[in-house]
Amino acid sequence: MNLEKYKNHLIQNTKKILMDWFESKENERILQREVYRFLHSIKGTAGTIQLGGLMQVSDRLLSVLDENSEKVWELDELRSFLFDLMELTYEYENYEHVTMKTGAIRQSNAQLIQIIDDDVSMLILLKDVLEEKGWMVITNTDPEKAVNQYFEMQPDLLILDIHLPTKDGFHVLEDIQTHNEKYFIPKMIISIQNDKQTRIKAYQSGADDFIGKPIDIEEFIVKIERHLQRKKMFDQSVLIDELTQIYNRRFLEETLPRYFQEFKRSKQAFSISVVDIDYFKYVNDTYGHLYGDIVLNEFAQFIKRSIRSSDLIFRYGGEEFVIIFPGTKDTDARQRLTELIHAFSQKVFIYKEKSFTVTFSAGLFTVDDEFVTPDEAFKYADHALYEAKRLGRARVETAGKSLCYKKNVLNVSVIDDDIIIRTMLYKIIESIDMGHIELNIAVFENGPLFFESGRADDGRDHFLIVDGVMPIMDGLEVLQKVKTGPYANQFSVLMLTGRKSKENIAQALKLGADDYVTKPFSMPELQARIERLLKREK
Amino acid sequence: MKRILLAEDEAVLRMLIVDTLEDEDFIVDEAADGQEALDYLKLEKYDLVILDYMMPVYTGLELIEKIKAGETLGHSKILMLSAKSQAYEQERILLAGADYFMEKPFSPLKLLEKIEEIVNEA
Repeated sequence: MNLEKYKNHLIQNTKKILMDWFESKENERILQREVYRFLHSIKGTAGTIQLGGLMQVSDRLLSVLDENSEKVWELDELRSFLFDLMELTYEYENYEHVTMKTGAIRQSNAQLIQIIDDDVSMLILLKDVLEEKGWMVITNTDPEKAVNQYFEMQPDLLILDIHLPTKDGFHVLEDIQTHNEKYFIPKMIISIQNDKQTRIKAYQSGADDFIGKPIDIEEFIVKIERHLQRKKMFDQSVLIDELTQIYNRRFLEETLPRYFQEFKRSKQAFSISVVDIDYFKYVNDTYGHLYGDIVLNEFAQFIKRSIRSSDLIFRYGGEEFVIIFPGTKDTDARQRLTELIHAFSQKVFIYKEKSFTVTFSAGLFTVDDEFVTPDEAFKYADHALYEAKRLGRARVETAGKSLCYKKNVLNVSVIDDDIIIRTMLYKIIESIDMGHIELNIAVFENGPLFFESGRADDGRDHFLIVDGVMPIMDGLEVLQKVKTGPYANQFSVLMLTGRKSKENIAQALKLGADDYVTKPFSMPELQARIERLLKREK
Repeated sequence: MKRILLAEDEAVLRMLIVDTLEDEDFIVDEAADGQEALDYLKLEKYDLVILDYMMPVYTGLELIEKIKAGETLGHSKILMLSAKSQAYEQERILLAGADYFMEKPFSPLKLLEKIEEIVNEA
């Protein structure tokens, strides 16, 4: 049921009354009875048409008003009394704009909460409250997109309204059920229907907690705190990756230093490889995240079966893995990785009678002197992985130590005809701390201006974010031009695309785009993605 | 076709309910306050009367009293909408003579379900 029309009516009616009050002649006073009626009618309507945030705020304001009081309000006094309500009304109307603003200021180590609710006023309210507590919040009104985001971002807590427009919350829970079985992610259901039957169904569908609307914010926050604490404790106690059943990143971080100590004693070189599945996002987008998980698992099992028993494989995160080859020099490790890449590329995956193959790339670093730290070694291998990706994927590259210190300046260019997106991107990139690498950022409103600037030809490493659809010169044209130019290898390209069509995404990837994000995107998601790609530049 | 009277002073909510019911082929008369509702009730016999609890001129409870006192044409089923969620309010409403009660905020689909249940019962 589409409630947009009624939501807009209520917002417009509310604004009209506020304007009548505050933009009228000076010295006007408003009767308490009128204020009470105003709030009461918002409260009565807002909940039903899924403007829970408005209901919440008006309910709170009502609770301190005595209906029968003879009080008369001065305008200034009333204005400050109704401030939260006015703010919410404004933000609701400018929702897209507002999410972009708040998205830019997030802490990347904060715990991540995903809220799925089609009630935008509720989302805004909850996001504000929760981000004030220091958590990062991603919000979504569209269940389809939300499920994708859930798989991609792997939140620490999921909060889900069961009343959603295209699909109810129980179905969303079903969609992520297979994932649920392998990962520990607490899930809270919020619902305007608070009867026993609904609660039971929610718990049966995999919910860990249930909160009725209107939400008691105080209790809500305490519950969230508890869930997040448990999640953190759980994460810290686990050394095996839930999905693939191989060691996880935490265990890698504990184990890696031991190999360095062992090296100091034995002086026997060993190798570290960072490997990453190629175009994995494309697999997810084409065959769905459930199948993506199967590919990840198959990959992990394949490597585990194929390496020696003394070699170790870890899932580092997402589609990125780390392999340690004890007592193995770089030429041997390189040879082994080349064989693995070849063998894996022969493996045929079948999805609904369509068959396809998947490849992976590897970066390799061999520890053969005492002066390298575990962190540096990982960084070198990761950098070599990036080289392998840049040189065409499905290959292994070896890191030389000198290579890693070569570049100090990284060009970052944004080409987008939308001034708001351009500006937001500039702010986001500016806020990313890249350690010893200096970011040289510039934004352009179209492709020709970018090429005229000469930045494309200065030979530096270049991270380019380009909008797919633009007047004058299309994003694909820009991409093609840099990827066929003399400095093609210096470029990593992130494509912003409104084109859902698989052909266009496939074409962008074929032309050499390293990643893409479909519009409309949420700024936190984009920021996370940019950070990930940029850090790979190290 | 079933005929329904909706008395609700909240314009947006009234619009939503009317749209929802008309989509299901009910004939709906709408009243924005107690007086309008009473006027309709004196002219028309309804399969169901939906009354908001808090309305100008006459409240939902006052209207029920008038219906019970025979000031209107015939007797219809009465569904009361109310934001007051306390149990004693609900009891009072049912004691006063409402046949059904729905708490605000409600989901529009739930309301529709309930209404269909009521009129099909009759």
